[in-house]
This record gives sequence, structure tokens and C-alpha cells, in this order.
Amino acid sequence: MAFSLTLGNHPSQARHPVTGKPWFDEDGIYVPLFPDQRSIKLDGFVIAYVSADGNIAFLAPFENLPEGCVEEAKTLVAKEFVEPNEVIAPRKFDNPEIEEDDE
Amino acid sequence: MANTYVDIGTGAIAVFATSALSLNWTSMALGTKSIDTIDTTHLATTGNKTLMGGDLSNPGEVSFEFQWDSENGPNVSNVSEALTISFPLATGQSTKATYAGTGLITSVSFPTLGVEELQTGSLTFTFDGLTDATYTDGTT
Repeated sequence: MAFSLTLGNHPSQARHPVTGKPWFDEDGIYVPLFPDQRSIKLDGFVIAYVSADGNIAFLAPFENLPEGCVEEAKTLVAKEFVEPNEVIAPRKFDNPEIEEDDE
Repeated sequence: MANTYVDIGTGAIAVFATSALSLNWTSMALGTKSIDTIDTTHLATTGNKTLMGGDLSNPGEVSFEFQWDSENGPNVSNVSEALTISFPLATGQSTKATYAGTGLITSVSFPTLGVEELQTGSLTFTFDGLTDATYTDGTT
């Protein structure tokens, strides 16, 4: 496998309830807006969000992901967070009627 | 100071955590977050009327336009869910900016079916204020 997947907090940062400023904990780590969600990073870049329901939403079309990435992500989520449910990704435009017209 | 991370909207992604709605989005208008102002003018006020900001903000709503998918049509819902909109990754960034919060799909507009016309729809996601609609900067 030529890529590295890691599971971490959702990247959106909560605002401090008193000051309204971006919220960091005592260790200087940002407090996630959605503590019940996770994100999946591919080589350090966020490529998917995972809900508490196990829905994995990729931020790039499946065709753009490295081979084996989706299955590896599902395995990682099952091992470290929750049983995967739906797996979705943005789709490329694939209307067959329009494709036929173009030929 | 020059702004290094100005970008276009192409590449933005919306993720609905519960409904797992996945469509070909063509536009996302992230709307306006605001607070009301309260008139504090009194009889001894001089010069200008005076105002103070309220404690509560109006979280706003997001308006989406999309290519209609006849196997994945959205619907209104009274179930609160988390929405995360990821901005395009600007050159030099490793984490995208996000705009996120909880809310409901409060309206869906169905497509116009026209001759040689792409079917498009629109929907409105209204933040419910339970998890604040929050913008987070991207990072390098």
C-alpha cells in the first residue's frame, strides 16, 4: 500500500461558549465542532468525514482515489470508530443520453 | 498584506452526515449569519441614536442548486443533521476551510422539465442553532 490513512477529529473547530473565539483545550489542541464525527486523512489531507452513524462521505470521486483506498478506509473506521454504513462520494457527470449525443 | 488564499468555488463539497445526500452541486450560497441590534436611545441621547448588540445570533441558512438526480431526489426533513461544507483546497493548504453546523432541509424546489434543458433543483438547509453554524479557516 503506497498511501497512509489516519483517523482524526472532524476538522471544524468549535467556538468558545464565552469568548466566541476559536476554542482550544488546555493542551492547545482545537476542540472539534462535532465531537461525534471523525475525518479520514490520506497522506495528511482530509479526504472524508465519518458520522456517528457510520456514514463515510468522501470529498473526491471514487475514481480519483488510490486503488484500495475505500476498502482500507472502511477497515480503519470499523477498527477505530464505528461499523461503516453508507459510503458516498461526489459523482462525475454520467448521463448516458448526453454521452450518446456527444458521439 | 496580500491575501494568499483567495480562490474560486469550484471543488467545494457538501456533506450531510445523516441523510448522506450526494448530488452534483452547482452552487452553494452560504447565506448570512447575523445578530440583531437593540435600540438603546433615550431622551438624553445626543448626536446619534445608540444601539447595542443582542446576545443571540441568527444562524442563517444555506441555499443549494444542483443537477437533479432522478434516483436520489432530496426531500424536506424535520430531523436535525450535521452539514459540513468544505471549501476548495487552496494552493499550499493541507486542510480545507469549512463551514458547518446542524439544521434541517426546509425546502426543496423540483426541476423544470424543458426541451433540451438540464434538470436542476434547489434546496434550503436552515441551521437550527443547536450546534452553531461555524466557519473554520483552512490550514497550511
